[in-house]
Amino acid sequence: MAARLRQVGIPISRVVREAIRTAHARHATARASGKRPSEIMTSIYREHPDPPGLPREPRDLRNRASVRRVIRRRLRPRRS
Amino acid sequence: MILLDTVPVVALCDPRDALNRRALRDLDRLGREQFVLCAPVVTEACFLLPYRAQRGRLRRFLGEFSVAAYRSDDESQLWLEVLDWLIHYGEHDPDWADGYLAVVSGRERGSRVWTYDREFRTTWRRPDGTRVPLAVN
Repeated sequence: MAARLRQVGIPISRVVREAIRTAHARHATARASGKRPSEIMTSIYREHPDPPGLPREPRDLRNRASVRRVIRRRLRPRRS
Repeated sequence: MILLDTVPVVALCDPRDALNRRALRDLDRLGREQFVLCAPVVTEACFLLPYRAQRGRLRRFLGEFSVAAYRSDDESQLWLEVLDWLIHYGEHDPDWADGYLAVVSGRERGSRVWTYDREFRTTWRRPDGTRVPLAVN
């Protein structure tokens, strides 16, 4: 793969630099808030609340068969 | 690198779910690591998070935690390996996402899978027969 990239004129050093920059930016974003991850999720729940009366899907995520049943119910119906 | 399975993603994005508190505790422990999401997992998650608010939370979770999409250099070959894995474990009736995670775990040697599925402890193995390293007990 590296040889193929070089053949088409893409320097590997540039690819590596970009990957490092991206990874660093990700970590910097996570650190910047200083919040615990669960606190970030609590903010998300506050900003995206369930509307009143949202039906509760009968499912148990600990039970694979239950998860499958939900997925199968939601599969796109075949159109003829 | 932490490979996310469907159930923790759904539990995090649905605060009414019975596994939500456990998922939040695990997130506090793992939240600084690089999370990676495979397409089959996000597909399953969208089946289980059908409402607008739930998908809004999923979108925010992916953004806030810089969750990366898993990208394979040779997706076609990966599919064949997943199908081989599904055939191998056929008597246990695995799903595509199970096989995908097990095969990607085998390819990404430093990765761990964040899952609550018992089969990853008891039954599923990487294609080379080794255990799938897990992120949570």
